Amino acid sequence: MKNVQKNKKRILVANRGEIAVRIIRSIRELGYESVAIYSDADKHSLHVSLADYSVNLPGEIASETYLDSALLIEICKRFSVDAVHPGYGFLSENPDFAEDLANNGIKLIGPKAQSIRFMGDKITAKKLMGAQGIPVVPGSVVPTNTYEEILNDAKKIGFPVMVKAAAGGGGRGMRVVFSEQDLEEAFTSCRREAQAYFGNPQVFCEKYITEPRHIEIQVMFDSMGHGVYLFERDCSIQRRNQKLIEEAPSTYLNDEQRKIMGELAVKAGMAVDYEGAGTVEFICNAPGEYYFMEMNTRIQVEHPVTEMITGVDLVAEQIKVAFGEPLSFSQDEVMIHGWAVEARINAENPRAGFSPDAGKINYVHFPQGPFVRIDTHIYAGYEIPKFYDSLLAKVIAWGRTRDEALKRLKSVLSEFQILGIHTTTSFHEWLISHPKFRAGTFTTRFLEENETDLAAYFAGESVESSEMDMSSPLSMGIVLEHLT
Amino acid sequence: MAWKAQSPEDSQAIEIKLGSKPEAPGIIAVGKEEFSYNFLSQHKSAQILSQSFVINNKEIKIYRTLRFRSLKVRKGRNFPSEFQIFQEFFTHDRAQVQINEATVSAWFKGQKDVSSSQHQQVKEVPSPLNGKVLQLNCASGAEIKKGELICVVEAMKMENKIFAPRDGTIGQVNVLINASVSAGDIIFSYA
Repeated sequence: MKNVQKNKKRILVANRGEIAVRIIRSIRELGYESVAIYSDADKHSLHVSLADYSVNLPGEIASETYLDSALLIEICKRFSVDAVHPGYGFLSENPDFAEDLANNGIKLIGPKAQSIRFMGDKITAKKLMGAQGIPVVPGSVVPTNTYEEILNDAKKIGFPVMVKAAAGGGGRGMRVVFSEQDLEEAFTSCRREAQAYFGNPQVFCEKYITEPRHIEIQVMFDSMGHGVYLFERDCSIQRRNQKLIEEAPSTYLNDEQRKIMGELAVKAGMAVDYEGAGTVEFICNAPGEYYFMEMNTRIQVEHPVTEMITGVDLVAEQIKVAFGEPLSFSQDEVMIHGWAVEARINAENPRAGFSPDAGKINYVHFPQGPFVRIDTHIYAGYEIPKFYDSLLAKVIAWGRTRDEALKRLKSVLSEFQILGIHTTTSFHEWLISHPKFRAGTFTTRFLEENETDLAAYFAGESVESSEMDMSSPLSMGIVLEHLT
Repeated sequence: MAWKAQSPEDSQAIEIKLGSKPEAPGIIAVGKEEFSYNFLSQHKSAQILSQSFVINNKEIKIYRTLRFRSLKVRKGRNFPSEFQIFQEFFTHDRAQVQINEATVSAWFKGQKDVSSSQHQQVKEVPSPLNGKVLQLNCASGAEIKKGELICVVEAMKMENKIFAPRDGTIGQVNVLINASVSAGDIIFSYA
């Protein structure tokens, strides 16, 4: 069968869920055609019916569908797709996919393959950034087997240090050492653990960040070599490295530090000949003491907070830049306007160790109002498939001040309702009311340090609506009556 | 906004069937192929097969999305030649679709099909909306002509005029002036 006649640029959105919906809307605004892809499990997902075209990928699990790059490229070729927007996750940071697209004359809405590859190798990236004069966490140059070398490195770095297994990961084979007298014992036990878990006893040490704060800088580059930063996002509130609340700007930085970090982030992008939107992540130990961690070479989940304070549609800008347009603004034209906070509403039960939940959504209520934004792909009657991630919605509130934004977000969350499955809504209500969060003096360890507070909050709550039987619309009616 | 359909070619009929209740998907049949749609799932769209091909033994189907308002189908050489989407006619319990120059109204199960009654002798005239009776120009036994003003129902600060659908004699008048009426309440019946 011949191709459908086409007079508009056609963009395939290689993603699902809320980000696919968000991208499709920008494509529509720009006057281009959108093509959605969906697995069998996502047949009823919102992005399918919003796109101009939708392509069914037989199968359910991600590796057979959204991650099948060869299949996607073949579809792009046969359907005359001009560009692919990868969203976040899935194929968004896969340099081979970027390369294959380029070889087939299809534009990836994102950086070039070699930029992705450079930043994807975390060790190479750190070396390259260090060489550019961008601070990286001080540490051993090479892993070692001898105590003398570790001691030497530790002294150079300064205590406290973290002794880590060279082959390690997932928190195993790590020791925090606060003074020289504890180093030998830590070195020995870390080596033992490294040998046991990873079959490689080599260890190295790096500076231990006592008060870690996750600050990331949004950057944007066009294909002509212009780069700007769109300020920071503070994503310090995390659970097992998953961000829960993000805000922009951060209480942590003053204007001078903001400018320095922004310029460093642009420098980082320039060093890898970057194009499109990206995020340079820093770990901070104290204001003014920051270290490059990694660069995410894609749009991020939390990009809306930056959009709210700058007024820039980052996704639309990504598309324009990918089609060869210059950036529509200069550094001097981007300004911070107010404060924005985002809460990620996940299909997880915070009372049961945040265990993921799937199932049918019976009812949703998304409160609207001034300066409120809700990015979501769910609706009443939608069934959450169990194959993909648990993000249901992002609730973003803007205010002239942080306090105003937080009060607004709290008000929205108090009304926000998803019935049928467990969600993290009430957890966020607790979080944004917490005095330490309000004061802005938290670290990435906030949740571990305040676990008992959270348990007390849940213990004190009455039976939550999501725990009642909502298997039928009739019982849902009863639940609603109870609530009012 | 118009769409030239590419496939299936030379189909002779398009048929739209509504679901048995608002949540249930309906069916659009184009030729021999049927596509389900779900216009009350807040999407107001339907997917119609546009192309399909086989890649690595996987059958890949590409669907064109139709934004659901009302569908108008004009007969062309390669029918269906064009879907034209205009003013929304879907409500919570009714859809009106224009097919081959004819308008078909369909109601969900349990509701009356209004369009079919147009071909028969109208016996009863219902109020089309919720409101208050402002004016009543009819009395039992009176002769009326088609198009005569019978009743004015006010709703949302607007007056809605109800005209006689055909010539005849009024049988029974069921409403009073200033009374509230609900949509579907019978205003009067023919003798």
